Amino acid sequence: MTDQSLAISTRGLARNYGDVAAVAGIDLHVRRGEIYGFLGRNGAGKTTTIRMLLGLVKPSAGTISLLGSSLDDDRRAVLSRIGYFVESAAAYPHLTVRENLDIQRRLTGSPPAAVDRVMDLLRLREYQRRTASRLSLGNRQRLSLARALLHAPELLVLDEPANGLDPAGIVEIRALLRRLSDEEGVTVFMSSHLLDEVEQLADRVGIIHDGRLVEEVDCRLLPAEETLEEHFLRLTTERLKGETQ
Amino acid sequence: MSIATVLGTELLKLRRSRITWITFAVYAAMAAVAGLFQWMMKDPSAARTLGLMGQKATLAFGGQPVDWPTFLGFIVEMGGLGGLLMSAVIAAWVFGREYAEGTAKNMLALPVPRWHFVAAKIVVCALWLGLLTAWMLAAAVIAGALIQLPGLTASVLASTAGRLFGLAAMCLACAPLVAWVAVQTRGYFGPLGFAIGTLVLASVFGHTGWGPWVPWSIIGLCSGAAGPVTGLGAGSAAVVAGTFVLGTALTLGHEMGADNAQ
Repeated sequence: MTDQSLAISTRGLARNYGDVAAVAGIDLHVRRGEIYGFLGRNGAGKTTTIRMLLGLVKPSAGTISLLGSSLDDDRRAVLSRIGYFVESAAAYPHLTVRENLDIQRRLTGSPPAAVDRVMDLLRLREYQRRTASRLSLGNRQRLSLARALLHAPELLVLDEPANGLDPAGIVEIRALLRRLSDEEGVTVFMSSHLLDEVEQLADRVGIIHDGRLVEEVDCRLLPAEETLEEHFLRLTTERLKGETQ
Repeated sequence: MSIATVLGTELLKLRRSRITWITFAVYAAMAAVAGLFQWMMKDPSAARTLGLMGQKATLAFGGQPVDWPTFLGFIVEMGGLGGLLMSAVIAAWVFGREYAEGTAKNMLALPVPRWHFVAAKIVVCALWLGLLTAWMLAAAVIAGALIQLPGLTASVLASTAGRLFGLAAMCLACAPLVAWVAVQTRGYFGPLGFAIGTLVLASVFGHTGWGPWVPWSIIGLCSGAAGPVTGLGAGSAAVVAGTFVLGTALTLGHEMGADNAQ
């Protein structure tokens, strides 16, 4: 597989904080157009990896290629093709939904119609004049997703996108991400704690434990007698037991 | 992506924020209080019977003529020390809010050169402080006219405006250091603590021979708060300019490098 056929490719990606290795040399290969679930327990290194992918944290070692290019070579060109959502649903609280999206639109050079398109996509139009501080957690999450989708990115990097959404919202976002992947060829790289959700949505899953990518699983090839949740818990629990012995 | 676009978005971020109106209200209140003190000093014996307010008015204007030059001189003093604190509040808010509200990580991963954000935010601070200064001058003129002070001439007004805007420029020069503390400490409290510390430093060094070499003291000395302006020269101007360069370089360095989001 060449870097050009991959949306995300990392080699030996590592990040140390003092003596602690938050990410200890991972090789990720996310194919274009696929939905890739990135799973791990708390503190496994998921968010640090996502931050490194977006240039928010500098790797201690290793290389990153996004959509065939390196952030170091042309940061702006690469980032203009990526939509992202990191950890919490953050927005400017005094600004309305529309104003928050308008800031993103201007800074990504998107056309004015893009704001209406993503508001319709995420069912935010009825809240367009409401300030972000008055939105529910679920609608703030939708606003963050709308931000990520506003400039029609080729790659979506999402950290816990279903966080705070009600069951109906989760189903809706799942359908949206599936459609973006199937119909528009958008690659989705997402971390989540909702393993059932990831199992239904992802094509492949990478499991990170203690800063290392311990397994990549094709969701279609999971044994029938084991769910992704059971597989994940078995794998990470075995590793934890191995570490304590 | 032009820097004008980024500046436009930075200005949009001010919309509906209470802090903007609070800063304007504080500056109006400062001019109103100065006007009230001058009005009280029209009759010094009556001022002495007005309790604490009368004492404050006597402290501020006692023994001085009740006229426009005295009144506007006091406004300039307040513009210096008030401007130092206000520029810190503005810089802390403009830079620190991105971290306090969790939006820094979104901003810094945008396909926009990061220095554009730093430059645009400094321009926002400059515009904000400039408007506040003009507002304070206007409020002072209205207050002085209401209490019918004598002695207003075009040259007094021009000199006051020049000194006020000059002080605002010096306060702005100190703001990037506050911005750096805001992005380093990722919020509001660090820079506001730093600003209070600089006011203490300004006061301490302002009373020693080191005043002309400490940026925050220079502003106090230039405002006339420590008496007639003496001992300030090109060296002091270089210190203020150097403070701006240092603060801007540190803030840029922080925002340009990785490892700088929440």
